[in-house]
Amino acid sequence: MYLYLSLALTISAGIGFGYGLFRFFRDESALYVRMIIFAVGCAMLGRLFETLQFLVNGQLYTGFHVGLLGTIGCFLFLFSANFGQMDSIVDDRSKSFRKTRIISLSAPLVVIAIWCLIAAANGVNETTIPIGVETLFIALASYFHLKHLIIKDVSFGLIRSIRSYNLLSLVYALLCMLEMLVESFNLPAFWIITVVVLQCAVLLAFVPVLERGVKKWTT
Amino acid sequence: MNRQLKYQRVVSALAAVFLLFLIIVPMTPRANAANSRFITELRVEAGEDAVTKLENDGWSVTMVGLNVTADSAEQVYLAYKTNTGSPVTNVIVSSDVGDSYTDKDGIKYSCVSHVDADEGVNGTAGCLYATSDKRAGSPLVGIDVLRGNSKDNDILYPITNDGAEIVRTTKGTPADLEKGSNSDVIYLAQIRDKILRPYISEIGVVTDKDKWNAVYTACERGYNYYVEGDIDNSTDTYTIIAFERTADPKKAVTNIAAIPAKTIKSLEKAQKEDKSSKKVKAKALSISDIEYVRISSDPIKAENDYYIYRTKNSKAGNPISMLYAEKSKETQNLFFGTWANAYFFSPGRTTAYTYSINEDLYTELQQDKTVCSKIPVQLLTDLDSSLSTATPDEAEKSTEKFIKLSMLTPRDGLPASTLSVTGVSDDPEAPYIERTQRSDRVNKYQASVFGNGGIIAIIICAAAIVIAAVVLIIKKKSGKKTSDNPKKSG
Amino acid sequence: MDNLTYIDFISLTVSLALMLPLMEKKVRRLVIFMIVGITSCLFISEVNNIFLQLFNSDYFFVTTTITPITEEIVKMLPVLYFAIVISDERRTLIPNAFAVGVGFALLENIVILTQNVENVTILWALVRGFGSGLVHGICTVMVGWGISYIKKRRKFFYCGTFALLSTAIIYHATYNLLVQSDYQYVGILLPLLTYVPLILLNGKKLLKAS
Repeated sequence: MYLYLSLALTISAGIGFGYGLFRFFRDESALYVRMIIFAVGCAMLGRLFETLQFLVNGQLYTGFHVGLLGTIGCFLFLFSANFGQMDSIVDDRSKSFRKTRIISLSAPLVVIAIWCLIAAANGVNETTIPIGVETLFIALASYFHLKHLIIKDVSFGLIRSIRSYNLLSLVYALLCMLEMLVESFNLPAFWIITVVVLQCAVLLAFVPVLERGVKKWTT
Repeated sequence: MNRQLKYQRVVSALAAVFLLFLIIVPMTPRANAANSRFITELRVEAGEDAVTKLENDGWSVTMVGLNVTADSAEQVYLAYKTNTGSPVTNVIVSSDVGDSYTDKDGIKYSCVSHVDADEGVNGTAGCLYATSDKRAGSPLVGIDVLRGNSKDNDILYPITNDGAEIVRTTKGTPADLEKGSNSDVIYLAQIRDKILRPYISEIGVVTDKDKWNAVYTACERGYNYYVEGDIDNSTDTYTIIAFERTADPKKAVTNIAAIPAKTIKSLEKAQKEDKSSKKVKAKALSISDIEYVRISSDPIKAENDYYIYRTKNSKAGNPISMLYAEKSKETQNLFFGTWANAYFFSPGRTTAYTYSINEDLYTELQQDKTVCSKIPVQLLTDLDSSLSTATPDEAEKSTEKFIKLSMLTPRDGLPASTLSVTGVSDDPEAPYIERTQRSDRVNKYQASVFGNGGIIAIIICAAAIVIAAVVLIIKKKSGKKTSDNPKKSG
Repeated sequence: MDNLTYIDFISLTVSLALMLPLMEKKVRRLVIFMIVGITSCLFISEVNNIFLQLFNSDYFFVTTTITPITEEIVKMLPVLYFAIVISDERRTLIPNAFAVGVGFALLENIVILTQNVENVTILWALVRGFGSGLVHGICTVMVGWGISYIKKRRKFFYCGTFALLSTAIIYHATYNLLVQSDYQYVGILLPLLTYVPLILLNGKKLLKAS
């Protein structure tokens, strides 16, 4: 079953990445957008590796495996895009945004809380430590996604137009955490299938939603 | 158009051509050559000019004849073809003379040719029948003629222990192609695809009057491997452990236990009392909450007779890859001794092909330190009623006077690469006879490069990193000085 | 016989190094980076060997999980150093990064060739040349692209480079996994499917620029 779920995620991310390449790499486009497309590409590569591991070995290695780097890389790209490009434009470090910054911390806190739950149930071991590292990067990215979702738009609609994308990214971050949770607690197959189906939907919707937002920048 | 662009176009065109080459070339010939290493046709011919005739017709002829005769006109040869149709999946010998034979599973066999394999000796062996039915097993990649002469004390056992299967008769007995002869024995050994099956999937205990008969009976029961050594202490009988192999660790036996007959009897008695008059036989036992199934129908003769039980429950241990029986207390190189059965002292005539595969597996297992672990079987003399398992030390102590049965089991499962060494999958073009070079199966597509433990490279690179770091620091410092004194530098 | 890896290394680097004084500055730099790549390969072979022993000679695990990480990090270091000390201009950095990857693949191919000299074929050479050569090159270029932001945008450099390094590692591990499995041909297609579009895209850009 995991092979098919992993394959579904690879295909969804692949479609998302392919669409992104087709829409944005033909001509010059914003680095921010390119970073997000790379994020989807990285997620695709990670899932592809996992699928191939299932196919070749019949199972994934317990503990650390290279597939985890796919999710880490994906969230690093998302974080990099928001932190390196967008944040300095939408947040001028003034006191007026302090409340937003504090509220935004709730996203990484929820993400870390989910990992703590997993670690409390399974102990800190070779399986929970690698996903703990993964959690760290998801938490970092989720902070900026929530922040850019709720922050007051002072930059001529720049951030407002990509709010739906940020919401989608935040949902994806939470879904990744839920995937870990479901796998760690060996919940019935229904749950993992639901989480994966939602992840597939998000991966497919990522680039079109972003494209819709980015279009508003130029119109 | 600038030069760089031209160059890039040429490179991408070349790459695209190669891409097409990779897509088309491997696919098209493969579709045709998928069966090229499998035997697809067999033929038996007799006569002086049989070899020339067969070779002219495109047949490959086995070097050893199917009968022992001084008269070249009566010499019978076996020939095969590859890549001409569906692969042959099993061969049997039948004394019937019909064109076809259907076994009890409904598998239809066709007569290879109406030439008696034992022509010239007035034998009764009969003709060869072959099938391509997938239910009969994996496709054949090789077939070999094994000959023995009892006069020369050259005993040929009907199990080769090297992965080859002796061709059986329609009754399941090993097919001796020189059945009419008193002195000579000729068996056909068929070698299947995916021969490398590292785990033991089924175990049986066979007792007969002597070793040859015990092995014969084991072959008759369908086993293709057996453990060297008599595991009973009776001079009148010879008891061997026979087994089958699998590549799937999930189907592997994970532990075996030898339980004294008197313990079993007392258990049966207790059970009988519980269920009043019904006769109870302990065909399955629970040891430490794991179910074990009995594999010996009668108790095996020892100072205290015992039964052997086996389990496939993963909680009982890792899959067993080899069994070993010894009568002495002496500690030996268990691993070497065990593998030697198939590798050096195979009672049959190990073919060059399987010899090479065994050599591969032997080297691989020996190199992997985690694989060789010795777990003495619980040959228990006085088991308490709860049938708790004894520690290896206790078992060691209790076996002092008895036959010791050991098993070889990888601690963490066999290395994945062991499973992937099939020995026949690398070059689908060549049939097995040409594939005897071990070097053929070296992983030439290995993904990374590994050194030989030389420290020089590490020292050189560590020095390079230190020099680079020093240069970086100097550069940073000088850069800082320049920025501190812009006028001076300017 | 002496250590073959070192023999291969010496015979390759010495002849390349002797050519250096006769070259133009740009070409010389590329060849120097190739030599650096070759040296990285020699170094990493010993490091890989240590990991192989640590993981009980489990070649498959080590080559699909450990060596992609160690190799990508070691190949990244000279590119990073060049970007910090000399130039982070993308047009200079990316060819140099590719040269490191190619140099690395060169020694790797030759070492594997000498180890399997009886079994190699023309197809093997094509597979190694197009497969392994491209994988190493592409992976180093990926990281080099991130490094090119080192002086322009630090925020991008730190996160982006690590993200690209992760991508390069997965890419490399996927290739290693495929090439050692029954799906070898897919493994060879992977770098080609990446390289050809990249070259075409770059060609288009150059055409526009001209």
